[in-house]
Amino acid sequence: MSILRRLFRRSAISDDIRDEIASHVAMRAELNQEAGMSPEEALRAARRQFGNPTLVGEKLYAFSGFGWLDGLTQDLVYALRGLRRNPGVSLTAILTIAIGIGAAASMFSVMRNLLLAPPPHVASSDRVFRIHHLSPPEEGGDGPGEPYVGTSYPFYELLSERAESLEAVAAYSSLDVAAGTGPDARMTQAVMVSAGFWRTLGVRPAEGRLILDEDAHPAAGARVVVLGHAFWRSRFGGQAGAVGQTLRIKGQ
Amino acid sequence: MPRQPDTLQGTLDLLILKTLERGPNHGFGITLHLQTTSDGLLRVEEGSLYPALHRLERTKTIKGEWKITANGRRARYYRLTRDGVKRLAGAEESWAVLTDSVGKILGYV
Repeated sequence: MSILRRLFRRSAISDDIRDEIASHVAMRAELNQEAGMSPEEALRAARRQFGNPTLVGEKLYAFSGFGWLDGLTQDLVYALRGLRRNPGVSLTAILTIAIGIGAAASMFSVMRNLLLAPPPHVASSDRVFRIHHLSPPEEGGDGPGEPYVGTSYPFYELLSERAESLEAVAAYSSLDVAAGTGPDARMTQAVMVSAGFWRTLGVRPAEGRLILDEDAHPAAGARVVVLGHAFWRSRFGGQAGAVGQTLRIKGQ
Repeated sequence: MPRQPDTLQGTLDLLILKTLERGPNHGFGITLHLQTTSDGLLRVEEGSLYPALHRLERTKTIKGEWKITANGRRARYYRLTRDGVKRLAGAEESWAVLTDSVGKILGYV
């Protein structure tokens, strides 16, 4: 609105300048004609006597003082006046913007916790990485191939033995298993983890203990599970007595 | 914006203000007055008067207004404001001091 207003005023100014120059040239031409020149001759002479009207116009424009600071001040004053003149509209606009900002801010804080912030229970999450493989580039294509997650167990073993720049390597694989037996049996999502998984992430259990390195031994290892919070609530009623109880997985 | 040397600019301002002291006039009228009263000595491009006029108007030394001339033509008439009258007095005084000093120096042999 105020930009429009300024544009209008600007063009009014340059129209004014043009009119003033035209008026001057016309009066001079009139005088020239009275002195005996032909009308065309009189006009041509008048223009020559005036000089370069574009140049003069530009100078005048600069003098008319619509420097950016001047314009900004006027815009601000105009905006404030408008706000005061229409308090209802102003209030609605302010409320709308406030609600919009509030909604965006709360949305962002949720998103930050879900997506951007590092997982809160992982110690030094800036040093935990997920390994991706790149598929071989296509024939005739340039650049690397498609990235994909997932690897083979032999590669995991190779990595944990040989990769010296890594403090620890852990692997996991998700699967659906039957938890419990008989009428209590439920299909549930589970994750099989390598021996150093919990140690690598630096997670601490709320109750009991996590899976230790010696649990991984195929024969001597203890058969233990770590319950997620939701499963603990639904299967054990959220009671601390869950630690030490037996949960049959795949009937074992 | 580049500025003219102060003395030159001040001189043109003084001439304009002095012309307007006789009464409101338009740019062309001021041009004619300056040319005739100086016996054609001050011969500048007529357009160069307008930047000075607009600068003076911006500093509220003079005030411009569109009017109809005696010949029925639209023209922008300028008149001195109260500030302008004061500035004219000051400018005339400084001019007198300046010419007096320069004259003394030129006359000193």
